[in-house]
Amino acid sequence: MAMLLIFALAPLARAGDTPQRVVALGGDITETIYALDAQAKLVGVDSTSEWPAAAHQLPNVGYVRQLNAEGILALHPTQVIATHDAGPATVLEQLRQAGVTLDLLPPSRSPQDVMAKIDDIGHLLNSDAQARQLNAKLVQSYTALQSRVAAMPHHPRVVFLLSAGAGNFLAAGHDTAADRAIALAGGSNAIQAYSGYKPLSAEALVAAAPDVLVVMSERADGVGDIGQVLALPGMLQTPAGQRKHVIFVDGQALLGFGPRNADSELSLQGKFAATLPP
Amino acid sequence: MNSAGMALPAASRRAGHRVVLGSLCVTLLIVATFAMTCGAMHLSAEDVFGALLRRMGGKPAQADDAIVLTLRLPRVLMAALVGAALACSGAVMQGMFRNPLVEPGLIGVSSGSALGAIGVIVLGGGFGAGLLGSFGVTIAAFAGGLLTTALVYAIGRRRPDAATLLLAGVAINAISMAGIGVLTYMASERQLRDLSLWTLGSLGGTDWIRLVAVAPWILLSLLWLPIHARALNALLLGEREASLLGYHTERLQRLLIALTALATSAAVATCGVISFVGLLVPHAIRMMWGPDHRLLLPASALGGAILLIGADTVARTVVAPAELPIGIITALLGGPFFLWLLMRTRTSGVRA
Repeated sequence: MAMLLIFALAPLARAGDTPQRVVALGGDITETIYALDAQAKLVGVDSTSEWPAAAHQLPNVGYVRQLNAEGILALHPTQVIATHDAGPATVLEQLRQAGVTLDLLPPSRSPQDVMAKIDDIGHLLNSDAQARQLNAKLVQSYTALQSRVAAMPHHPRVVFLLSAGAGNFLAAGHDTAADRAIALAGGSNAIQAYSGYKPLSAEALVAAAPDVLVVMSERADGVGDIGQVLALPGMLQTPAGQRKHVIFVDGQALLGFGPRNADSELSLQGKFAATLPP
Repeated sequence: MNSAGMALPAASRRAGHRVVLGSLCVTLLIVATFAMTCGAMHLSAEDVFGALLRRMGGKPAQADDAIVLTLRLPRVLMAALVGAALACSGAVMQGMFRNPLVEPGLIGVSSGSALGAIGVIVLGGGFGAGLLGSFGVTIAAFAGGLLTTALVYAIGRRRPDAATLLLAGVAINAISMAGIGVLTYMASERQLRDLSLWTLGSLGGTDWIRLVAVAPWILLSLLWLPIHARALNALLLGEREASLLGYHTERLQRLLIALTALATSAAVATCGVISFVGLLVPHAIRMMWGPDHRLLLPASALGGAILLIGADTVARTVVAPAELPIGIITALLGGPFFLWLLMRTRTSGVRA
């Protein structure tokens, strides 16, 4: 009842203010705004905002690292919410000088970060109640994930492939969003020799001996289906290749560490558990 | 060898030059004015000129004046400066080396700048951002361009002829590209996007501070280079012939290289690599009005400015509210125009 009252009074309280016009810069931020059901305030997104499909209907201000001030200002935003790596810095400076409220959110790589991000965005959009509701659901999901991971008898060795071509795979090393996502789902990243996403030779892949391969489905056009992944050089010499343990994931949902991360982590954990050696 | 213009008496040739430069100036003004009224934000011509008049008259600014004064105006001016710098440097390089395929990049300016810029993008991290702010990439690119040019020149000096300079440039370019390759390998995915966008060029980050920082280097070169137009005409005959005519060719080459390196490094450092302008604008001018450097250098500068203002206007409007990298547009706009010019001059029998 109190909740209903707040909802009913909230618009009244701000009736005198100009309506918020929000531009979201970053796929995870757009996802969060939709998850908070605040998309009515959204007037523009960047090109990394690929989910949900409705976001494609909004004006697109371009790639998040190569923004331009006039394009964003043309949407007359009152509030710009940007991911930490939005840029270039001069354009952000121009936006601030033009009097737009600009909030840069910190990078997120953990459940705590995800929920803090949802809190921040909820606060900026006057949707604190929705943010609390969403976070209450996420706490349940992440707690369930934690207990399932704790129950896993083995933690599979995982290689995360970003893309593949010409005999080289672009694989995630330590200190990447993929590395954190694998650990959260109960796997262990088999690539600890380097940080970042780097080309991995067929030989190094065999040496890493992964039990499971995780492939980004967005890049499936470069990698192909499971048959093509298994046909890559060296693949059949790995345990993952021999047992056909290849998992395709929605990279943005998993690695964006937004509101969809918890569900993708749960599903990834389920697949890790199913691929354990008999 | 002699075009129609060369056969005319000096007085009427100068008058002809004045007509060409005058009409190019008018075109530049028209294109710049048009560019000011275009953009992602829909502003009427009255809004734009009202903003300029209010600023000049010291009257209080209105709502969208900031768009015109802090975003569009410096950007149009930057496009003019950078286009002029690239095209005029290209004209000088082609004349000095008597080679139509030369462009400023061939003596290492672009690849050296790129190495500097990409070095900061990939390795800079906290250091570059903390110490120099968003200027880190620009300063490193400027220094990189000047350093590689100096290196090319130092090597070329041991055997002072144009061919050695060019070959040294080719070798230094190869080494810079290898360095860029190493940095590309080390880069994270995010940095890869940054550096690939940088190599396509953009005027997106232009503000008054950047414009003021770049202008002196480019203006110095743009004003100084045309003084040596006669010497460049003499160099067209050959280095030996030029020195017989009383020109100190080695000193001249040193000065011309220094000035073009200054102008192009400054241009590339602020806007990234913008291909095509330095190579083809001087050709277009030569095809239309002949090879006399007294006309060629200022006309190339004006032509480059016109091309780049036009290209930037297209870049920031076709996919608005997003924008395209300008290097794509210069090639898309300029390439077909140049081909058309090439076919036309061939059939009418005029030689470039």
